[in-house]
Amino acid sequence: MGLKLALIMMVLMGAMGGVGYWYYNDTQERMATLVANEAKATLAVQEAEAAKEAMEASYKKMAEENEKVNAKFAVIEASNKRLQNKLSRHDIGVLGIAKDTYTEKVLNAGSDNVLRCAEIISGSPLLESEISATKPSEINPECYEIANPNFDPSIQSEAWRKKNL
Amino acid sequence: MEKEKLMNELIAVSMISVLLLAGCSTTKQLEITTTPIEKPALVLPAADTLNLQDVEWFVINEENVETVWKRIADDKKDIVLFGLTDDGYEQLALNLSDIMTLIQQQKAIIGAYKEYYEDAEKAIDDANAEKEEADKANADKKWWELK
Repeated sequence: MGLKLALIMMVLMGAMGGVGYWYYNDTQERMATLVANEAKATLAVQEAEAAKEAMEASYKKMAEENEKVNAKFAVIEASNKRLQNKLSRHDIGVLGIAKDTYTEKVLNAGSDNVLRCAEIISGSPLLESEISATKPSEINPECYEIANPNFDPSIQSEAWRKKNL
Repeated sequence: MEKEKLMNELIAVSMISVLLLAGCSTTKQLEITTTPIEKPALVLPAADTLNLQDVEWFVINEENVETVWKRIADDKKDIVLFGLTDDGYEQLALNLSDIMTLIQQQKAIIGAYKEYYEDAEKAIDDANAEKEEADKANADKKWWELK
């Protein structure tokens, strides 16, 4: 009877040990999977965060570029308008009859200036005299925004600003 | 009998040697690494820089027409002029101004595209490098080191 009981106990203990061993292994495996999953999830969140930041940076840059281009367009438009204003202020037909030599000089000087503007737009380097020009008499009045980087129109006389801005 | 024993010993020694040698060998895990091929940078020739010829305008009216003809003759040029009225001159000037405006606008747009895409490419490269670094750091860790 004692031997039987001992045998049953041994079988039971063995079974319990086996279950315990299986449970331990299974739990460890699950823990490893869960921790690995968590790490992957954390990484995925980090990556998503980085992607979001990159997108936000791109949108910001896009807005900046748009703003810059609009500002440049405004300057270009102003320069274009200046010629229209100049032509509407003077009647070159009347001037050409009354002061032909003077008109010829003005037209030729204006033409030279405009052609120089086209050269600068195409990438021609600025001349020393263009860079150092700070007075209205030294500038290229057709495109001083691009031809004369050191000329500040805002500090010029009221009369000049009224005529040119 | 002696010969048979020797043969058996030889077979036993060779089998043990083979087992020992095979036991020392290891099977390495095949590692495959992939790297993305970078898109080659677009290199384009620069546009020509203009070097324009001077243009000379003549203003002719009823009074000075003879003087202008004489001037042209004195300069040894063909006695011919291609004319514009004052309105025509203004229209030509405005047309030229519009063309220059368009060129400047296009230049500004191209510049903005260039700046935007160069910056975007850099941001993507940085993000990819960061991701690669994080992946590599995690790949080297055991599960209990992860967190």
